[in-house]
Amino acid sequence: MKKVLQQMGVDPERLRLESVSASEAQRFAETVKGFTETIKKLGPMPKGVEDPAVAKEEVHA
Amino acid sequence: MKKIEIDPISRLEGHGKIAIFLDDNGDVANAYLQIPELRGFEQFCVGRPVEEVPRITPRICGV
Amino acid sequence: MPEKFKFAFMPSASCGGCEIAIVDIDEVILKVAELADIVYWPTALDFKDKDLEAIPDGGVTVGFFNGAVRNDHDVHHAHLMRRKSQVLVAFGACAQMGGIPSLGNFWTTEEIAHRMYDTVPSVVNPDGTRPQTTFEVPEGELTLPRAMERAYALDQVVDVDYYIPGCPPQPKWVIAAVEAVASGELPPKGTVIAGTKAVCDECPRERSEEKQVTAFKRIHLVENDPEKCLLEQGIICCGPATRDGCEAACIVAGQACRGCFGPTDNVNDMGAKLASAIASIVVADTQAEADRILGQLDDPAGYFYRFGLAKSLLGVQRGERKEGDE
Repeated sequence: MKKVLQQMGVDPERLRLESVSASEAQRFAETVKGFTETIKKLGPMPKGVEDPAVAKEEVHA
Repeated sequence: MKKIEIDPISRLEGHGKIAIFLDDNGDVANAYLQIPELRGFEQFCVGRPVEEVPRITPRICGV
Repeated sequence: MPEKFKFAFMPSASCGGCEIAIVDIDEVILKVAELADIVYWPTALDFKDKDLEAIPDGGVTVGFFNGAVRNDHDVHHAHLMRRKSQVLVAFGACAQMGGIPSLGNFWTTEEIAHRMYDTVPSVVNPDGTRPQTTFEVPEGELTLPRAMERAYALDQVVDVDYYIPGCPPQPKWVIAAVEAVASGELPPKGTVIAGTKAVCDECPRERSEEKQVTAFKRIHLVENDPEKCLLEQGIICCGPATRDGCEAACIVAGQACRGCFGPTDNVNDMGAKLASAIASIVVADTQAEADRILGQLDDPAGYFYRFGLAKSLLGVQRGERKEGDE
């Protein structure tokens, strides 16, 4: 998936895959906290590229 | 000068337009063939596995 | 005598294959001619934009739009077809989901133009000449459409009623669409006129209950068992996430499916669905081993979004790309 994201122009750091079992409450909390920090630092993903010709409403005489 | 535009050129695959300029006598001063298309096969085949390219390039022309 | 329908066919950033698909319905074209007048089809007959513009809004019964929306003229054509047509059909993979031209979305338009006009080995362009949207010549001015920043599928630009998928569409589904129009029994809006299952359901190869892939192989580098599922043999096949109706034509011909009929129902992002399907068949004891096996895929995004890059939910992102990434 990271390679897919890289090819798509999305920072692979925005994806994390972790395996946490139901009994590992502590590790779950730490993983989520840590990843939330990472994402906050990265900031929101930029809006996808759009072309003004499509964004504007066409008006015809 | 008077300009006549033939747009699109019909009965072919792909896009084209022709601009014909007529002088004051109504004779053709010049004519221009224009290709209004850009798809980018030359670039987007880069990075594809080589055995996939013969499945991509036929989409240049389906006729 | 009942009034004839009016059909219009608009090509866009296309290859012409969809229009050949119409001709490929063979003698059924006579039924089409009985049923409808063709009021616009520049690929086959001498029509110009002004002929379509002269038709009153809603005057076209069914409009068929093929090709991706790639330049601002295509956008104009998409809006024109929507205004003029009571029913608008996205015809073929490009109109449905961007098609092969939407692979251009991996790059900026400038990068594409630079390659096309400057760096391609077969081009000789020492002055770096580029197409311009307007250009003065001694006699007057020439104009060209502007290539947009990205390619779009038709429904990202205008409201679409139906989809006929495929690259190219298959005659039997073109005929099914014509018959639906003729009978007046149109399916619910938004229907993709093809099968309702996945290609695996039509595939003649044998599948076992569980797939367990320990290595991915490139189809031309291995002898594959022609009776057995390609995916089970480690060859990427997009069948599991692809709508059927094509009778598994590519697999029957010895090649893997590349997803040209688009996703099955209820799939929001075909690439994500395929990534999930491919990852789920990998067998590995450790994360490192799983990474190693999946790392054998050099071009996952190109496999998973082969015909539908324009519709990826990620949108067109132009984040940091390092040299060598495509």
